[in-house]
Amino acid sequence: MSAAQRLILAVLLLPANAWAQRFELSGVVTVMRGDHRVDAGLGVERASGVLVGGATRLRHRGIALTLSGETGHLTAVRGSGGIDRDVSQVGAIAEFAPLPWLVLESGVTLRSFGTVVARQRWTLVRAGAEARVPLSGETFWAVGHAHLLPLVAVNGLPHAATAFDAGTGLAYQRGRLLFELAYTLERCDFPSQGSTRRSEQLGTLALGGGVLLRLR
Amino acid sequence: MTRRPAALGLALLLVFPTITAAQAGTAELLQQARQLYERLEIERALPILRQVVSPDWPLEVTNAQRVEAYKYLGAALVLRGKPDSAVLYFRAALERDAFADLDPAQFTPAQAGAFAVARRRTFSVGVRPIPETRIDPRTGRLTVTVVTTHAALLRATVRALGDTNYVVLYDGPNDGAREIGWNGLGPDGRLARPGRYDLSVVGRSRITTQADSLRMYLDLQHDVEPFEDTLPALGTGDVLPERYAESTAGNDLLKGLGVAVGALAVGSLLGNARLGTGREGPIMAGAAMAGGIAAFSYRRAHRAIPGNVALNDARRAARDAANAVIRLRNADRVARTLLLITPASAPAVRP
Repeated sequence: MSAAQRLILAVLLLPANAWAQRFELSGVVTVMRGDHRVDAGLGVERASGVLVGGATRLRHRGIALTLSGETGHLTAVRGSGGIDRDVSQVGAIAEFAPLPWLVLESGVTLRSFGTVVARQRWTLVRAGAEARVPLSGETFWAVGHAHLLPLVAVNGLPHAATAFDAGTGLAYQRGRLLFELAYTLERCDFPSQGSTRRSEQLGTLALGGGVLLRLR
Repeated sequence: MTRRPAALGLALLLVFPTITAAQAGTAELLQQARQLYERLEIERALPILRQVVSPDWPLEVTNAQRVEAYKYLGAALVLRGKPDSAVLYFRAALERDAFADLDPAQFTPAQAGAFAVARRRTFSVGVRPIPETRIDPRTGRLTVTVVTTHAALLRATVRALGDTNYVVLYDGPNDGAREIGWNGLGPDGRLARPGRYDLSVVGRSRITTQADSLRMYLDLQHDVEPFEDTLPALGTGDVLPERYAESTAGNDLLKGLGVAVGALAVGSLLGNARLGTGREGPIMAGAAMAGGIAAFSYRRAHRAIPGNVALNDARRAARDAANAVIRLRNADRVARTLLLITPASAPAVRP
């Protein structure tokens, strides 16, 4: 059973009496433009493309759990020396909102880069925060987020020495409808191996739209 | 300092026995005259009775004592065969007290006849003194006994002092005593306001051309349960702002610009310089800037905060509903108001 499946099962097995209280369940479909760059000592390899996926989020008062998944194909940018790759990832993030505008987050992402040569599995553990301030009333929000990635494990590579992500975005909610545009830059610098220091960076611009359901 | 109270006490001691003796003197004299009359010693009774009604009589004589003296004078003169003089004294009694009457068990038919003649010749109206009365206007009423000495047209009204509108308690024919009532409502049909009231009785003889009137004053008070205070109007601290401040639009623009700058900063400051960044950051920056400008324009045109307006409306509605209930309870208290009526002037005063 994968980690994502275990998380979904955990959500389904929530105690029945918890449902007596108010829950918010949202589902979002995401279309994401990804720009992946890696320098493993042979120059910068670039690949970009579109990923599609979705996320579901269950919130009860200030606590929420988000499960997400995306998949897509990144095409090597001509002249950059890279090769095409398929990207798939699933993630789970637990959220806690100590303040109306601040959400503390921690989660894990399992990612797979598949090329004709090999398949690389990533495990990223992240912890950080997201700030949301109303941009126009209670419907339009300015969003900023930043996470440290204390653990980035990649098969065949040492753990990343420095890794973080950061980004900004806009969110819109009207009634049950949700829309979000978010830019995220994820950077991982691996320890030097000899004279080579591997660096990878994934920039995404995600456009999501979905619905919010209030459950009792 | 101690001499003044002592002197005052001495003066009171000297004055009080004089007053008491004066009243006792008249009463004793009347009692003596009555006993002489009953023993038919008319010649001895008459001077005493004349003495009591004489203006020269030095002792105090109450109206009731004077009326009593006139009645016995009249009765004595009937027994002496002087009915015309008797009628004059009976008239004097009736003029002072329209309720005056002869008890058929104590007086002869001839005396009653003379008294009846006096009644026909004299016209006066009277009102019995009203004791302190507490009435529930829903069920009770103030009862006033009025009288005319003979057949008359009688009109009794009550009005608040200074008010031009009045309530007619009775307007019609009358002969003798009659009970009239007031339900405590004003001319507008509402509960009479607290204050001083003027009860006026006007009579016009149907036998002679005489007319008589009298007036008495009543104090009216409401005896009502204390009212419950209504909830005060919502203050500034009780309601949410219903409009965004002037600066909100500018702040929204700044936030949009902040998101745009953040998007650019993430790429340029946090991105790996060796790897460079794509166009996602600038696209996000452009979108954020557009969003900020859109928010700025929207907020300039729409400063109302519908959610707060709805909440404030709900709070006002809740307050109004609570006040409506309180007003209902207060109205119920008003409906259960009792009227406390006390006489403000002792006997009726002829205007």
